[in-house]
Amino acid sequence: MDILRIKDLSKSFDGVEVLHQLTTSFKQGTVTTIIGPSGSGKSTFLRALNQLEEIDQGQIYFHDQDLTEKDCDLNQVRTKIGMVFQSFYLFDHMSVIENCMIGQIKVLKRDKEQAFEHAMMHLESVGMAQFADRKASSLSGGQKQRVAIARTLSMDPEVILFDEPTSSLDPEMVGGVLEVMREIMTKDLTCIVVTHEMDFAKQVSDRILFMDQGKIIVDGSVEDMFSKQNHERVQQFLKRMS
Amino acid sequence: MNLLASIPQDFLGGIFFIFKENYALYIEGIKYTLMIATLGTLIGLILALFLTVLRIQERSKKDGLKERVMKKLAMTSSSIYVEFFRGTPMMVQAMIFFYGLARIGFRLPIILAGLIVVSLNTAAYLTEVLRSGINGIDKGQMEAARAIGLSRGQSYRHIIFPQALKNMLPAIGNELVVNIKDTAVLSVIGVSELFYMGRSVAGTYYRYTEAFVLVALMYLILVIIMTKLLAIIVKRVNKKDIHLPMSQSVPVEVK
Repeated sequence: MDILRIKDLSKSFDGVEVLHQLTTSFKQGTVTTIIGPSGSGKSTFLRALNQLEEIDQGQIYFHDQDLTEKDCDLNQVRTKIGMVFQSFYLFDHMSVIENCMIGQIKVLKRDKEQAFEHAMMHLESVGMAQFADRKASSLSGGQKQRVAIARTLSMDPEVILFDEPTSSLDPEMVGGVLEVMREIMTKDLTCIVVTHEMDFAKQVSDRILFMDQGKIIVDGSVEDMFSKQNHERVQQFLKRMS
Repeated sequence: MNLLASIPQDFLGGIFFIFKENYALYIEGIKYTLMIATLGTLIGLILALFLTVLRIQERSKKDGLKERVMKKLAMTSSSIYVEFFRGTPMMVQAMIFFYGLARIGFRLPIILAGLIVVSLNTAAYLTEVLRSGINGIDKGQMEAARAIGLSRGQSYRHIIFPQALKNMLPAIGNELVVNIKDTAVLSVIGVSELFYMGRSVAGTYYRYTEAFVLVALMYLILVIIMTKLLAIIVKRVNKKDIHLPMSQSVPVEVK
């Protein structure tokens, strides 16, 4: 079953078109990786999916709800379509546990005790429970990203969008974050990942999209992308990445 | 005549004499100066938060004509307010406010009128401070807040304002220090703050230099104490705030 459907999505910045009439869909419980050169529109596409980026044209359906409709309650939708950012964006004035509780209390209206237990469960799952009382700003990059993942998981999303989650990390910390992501991907969550970690993409993806100049050039399985690929642009990109 | 005869003729002797005879008046003036400056800054800060919210409207492609007009109106009215209060002297504002209201039948207690003028004036300056403080917060903070479903208002309330206010504490403190000095202009409407008391004492003895050197010293002491107090508060607030480079691989022990 498709959990997200995108129809004719276009987006421009100052007259420069970065997404050009994209049409695709994402099946529930699958892992899709989006790869492609810098500036190809991958991150903009991802950010359009939870409407952090307003689109110019097209429709985005989450289940059967059109997110581009004026009366769509995006705040509620965003609790179901979580996002993990390249630069973590933890709330630095809060502790680790508060980062994971604020959304639950303010948006999901859970009581503090319930939110605390839920947050602790997810901090446990990313190996950060012992840092619960720490100020977010005192953590290392890898730890911050793991907390950011726990914060997203605490909202019980159905879809998680990962926007280059390891690009800001030291190589030594990348492994830990990827490990946490691998664990999440074994659950019944729909994950859409923009990444430059080709090995990771090969290991976890049910499907890979290759984007270039605002369009999806190739849409297929890991094998389609890495073994049987004849598209010149994709070959060039993969050669450069290897 | 007796008063004038009893005061020592030398400068230092005059200062000591005036202080000894009138310290109660000066303390009364200090009380009002501190009260109006502190309350005025606090009320101004609250008003500034409101004005800033009006000023930082988020435009959306989904906005209809009504929303666009309302947002534009909110932004423009906030801008006009800030421009007016920053563009005219507080002394003039005090005159217009106090006598203007009196003319249409509202005679406010003088202290209250002074407090309102300082609050309104402070709000304009702090709106600009808040706006730049908010602009200084990484846009990602707002995005992360919206990404977990917080509304725009909730994002500002729980995520952006607390961080911006913390960054702006020195600027807000500075405004308080400026207000301590600027309350002097309220003497034009008869607020019995420190400057007003100084003028009153000076007029009693016809010794303006001595009376106002005392006033200057008192302002200086107030400002130094307030600056030190604010520095302690800022230090406390920022004590546990450690920002590491993203590549930092070892967690830091926070004591």
